[in-house]
Amino acid sequence: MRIAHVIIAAGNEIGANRDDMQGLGRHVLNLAVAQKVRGLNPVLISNASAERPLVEALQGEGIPVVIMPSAHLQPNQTAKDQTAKDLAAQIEKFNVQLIHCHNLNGVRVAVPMANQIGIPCVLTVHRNSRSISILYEAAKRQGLKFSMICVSRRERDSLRESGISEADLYYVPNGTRSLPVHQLPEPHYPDLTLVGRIILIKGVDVAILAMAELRRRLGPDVPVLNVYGVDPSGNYFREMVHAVGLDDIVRFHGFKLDVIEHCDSRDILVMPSRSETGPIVVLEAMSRGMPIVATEVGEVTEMLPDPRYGRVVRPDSVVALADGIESLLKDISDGHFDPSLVIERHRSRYTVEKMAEDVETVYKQVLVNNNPY
Amino acid sequence: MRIVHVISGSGSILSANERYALSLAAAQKKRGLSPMIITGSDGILIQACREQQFPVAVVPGLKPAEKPPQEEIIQGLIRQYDSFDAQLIHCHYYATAMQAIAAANRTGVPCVLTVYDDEAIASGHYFDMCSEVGLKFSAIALWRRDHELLKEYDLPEASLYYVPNGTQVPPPGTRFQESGDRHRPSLILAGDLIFRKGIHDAVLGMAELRRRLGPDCPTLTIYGDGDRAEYLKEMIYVAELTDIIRFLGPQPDPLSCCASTDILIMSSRVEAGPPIIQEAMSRGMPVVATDVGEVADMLPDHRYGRVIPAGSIAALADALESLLADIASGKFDPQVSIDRHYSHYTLERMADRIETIYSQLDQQAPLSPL
Repeated sequence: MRIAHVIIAAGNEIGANRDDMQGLGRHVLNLAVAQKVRGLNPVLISNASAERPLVEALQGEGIPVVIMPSAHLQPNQTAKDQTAKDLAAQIEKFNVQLIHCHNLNGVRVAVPMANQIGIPCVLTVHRNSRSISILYEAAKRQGLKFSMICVSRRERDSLRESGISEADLYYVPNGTRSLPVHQLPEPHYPDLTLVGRIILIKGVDVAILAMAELRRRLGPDVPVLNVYGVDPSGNYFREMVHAVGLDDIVRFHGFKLDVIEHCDSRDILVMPSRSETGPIVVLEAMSRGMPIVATEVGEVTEMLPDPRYGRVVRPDSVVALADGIESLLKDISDGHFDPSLVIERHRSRYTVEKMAEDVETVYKQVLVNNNPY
Repeated sequence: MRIVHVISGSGSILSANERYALSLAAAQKKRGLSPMIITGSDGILIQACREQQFPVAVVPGLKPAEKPPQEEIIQGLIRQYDSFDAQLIHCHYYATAMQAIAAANRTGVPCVLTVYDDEAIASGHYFDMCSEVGLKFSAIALWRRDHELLKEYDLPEASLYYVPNGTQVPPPGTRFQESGDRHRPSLILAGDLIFRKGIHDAVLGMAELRRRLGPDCPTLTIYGDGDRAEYLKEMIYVAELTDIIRFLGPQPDPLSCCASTDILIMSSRVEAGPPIIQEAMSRGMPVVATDVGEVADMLPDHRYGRVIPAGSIAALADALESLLADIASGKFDPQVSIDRHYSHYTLERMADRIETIYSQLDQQAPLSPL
């Protein structure tokens, strides 16, 4: 089966940073590689805003990537029409049987064209957005159709409540490959690791302020927070760290590929986001048995159902995050944290193979619905 | 001319666009027009309308929602338009405008939407959706960049207008509070406690200012409420700023609570034409504001205050430090700000420009009902 993964990012859209690879990019990479292993033929069709590390990684895996010449960077109809024409040409050229969109711009461009030529479209909902139900309603009024895969139950329920037909909604949790456990032989006092775009929605500010609170509580025993990710704000978070006097314990390292794969698996992953769907970084950390403190957003409570797997804390709360980290540090020093439990939970529920299999089941259902005869 | 202003009216305190609409309606009434207000629920907006003796009506269900127009609400609006014999519909919030525009289009009455900030601009899908359901309306942008951006959403250029905000001139002889110590102004910030107002930036700016000035650091009073109140209080607690920052909750006229020698901070990440800056100018207050919306036009040089990049903690602290030094050395002249407000940003000037737009719309061919 030939699948086109479509990402049409606008120039000012989050996710359009070419030297970055966010959760959406990692998801597409994981899925496309697993699909290839399963004998499907995935191709990525994107535009000038595609993330460079994603493009390179897919090409490295032998998966075709098409960067369309028309960059849908302007919101006007002429730009959309041109992008749709270019996309149609690629769909024909690759003899695509199913279009899998990964953002709303992709849906806006692909669905009218795909419906016209009878190719089914699926959207994976990577961000919780009220725009989705609006887009769905608008498509329905025009007689257009697409299905949706939610990576979190919460998002699926919310979309269902907003009036989206149950028949068009599927739930497939994210999956990641199992990463190797890596730890140095000497005793290790855990550092804290935060991975993601350095923006407010990711709660980086909450993590920094929690460090101020942890220092107040732990004094010189406070751990170091290592922050990895692209910082589109320029200097804001560094200024924040300086203003509250944390230069010695909060370190920014910029964007690095595969951070979780290479850090000590005894370090604690901090995921302080204010909004997520199915955060890939949490699954990657689980696959290595890392302790995790994450906010209660998207699929996180399903991933980490009780304190044996880490701590799930209220989003947007500095004190709750500091409490979670302090309590997990204590569990670790008391020998109460068992990494094998976390690894086992990942292996049984969140592998990339399981995700690819479940997505393929959705594809088959969508193809049957699209052509019932 | 009979104008119907459609406002959401869902909050417990008047929002910026509600205050704008009420001020505009008051100025229009003074100019001999007949404004009426339609809102979605009973509350503080209705009370304010009654105080100002505007005809007001509630259309149940009219609330912010980016959903296709609902027939029941459209019919409710049409009944109100008809009973008032409306000649023009003026919408004040894009998320309630879709119903109001649909009702106006059906009755053939011209309709205009004031675009308050670039939330509407950012959500291009909104204009896509208006276009998909065939809604016809004109738009007034409060700042030049929005005016330019709106052109990109396939709205006809002839239906786009630019009218900067305006606020009342304090009556002659108005006496403002005097600061106890003219060399130690306090800082004041008013706005919803939400991210895009950048209150967190101001709090962190205070941490930086305290680091630099030590015990000479001024105090900051914040007026407002919102879903980030708890977070901001935690921030102040962990950054050990409880002695220099206080929250006093929302105030309908926060500038009346401070001295005209105090400094207004406007730290928003996004704004269109923030009226609080114009109000501060009309009182001769020094202002430190982020470079968003129309702010750089309002405060074109250092005589009026400081304009800084949005989302910069160090720049905010630098600007406050430098403006405090200007004030202490007698270099800040409040009259310059008062004069600029009078010549550019009065409510009367804004009402006059908007009336010109109404006249143009009124002379255009009537819309054919959908």
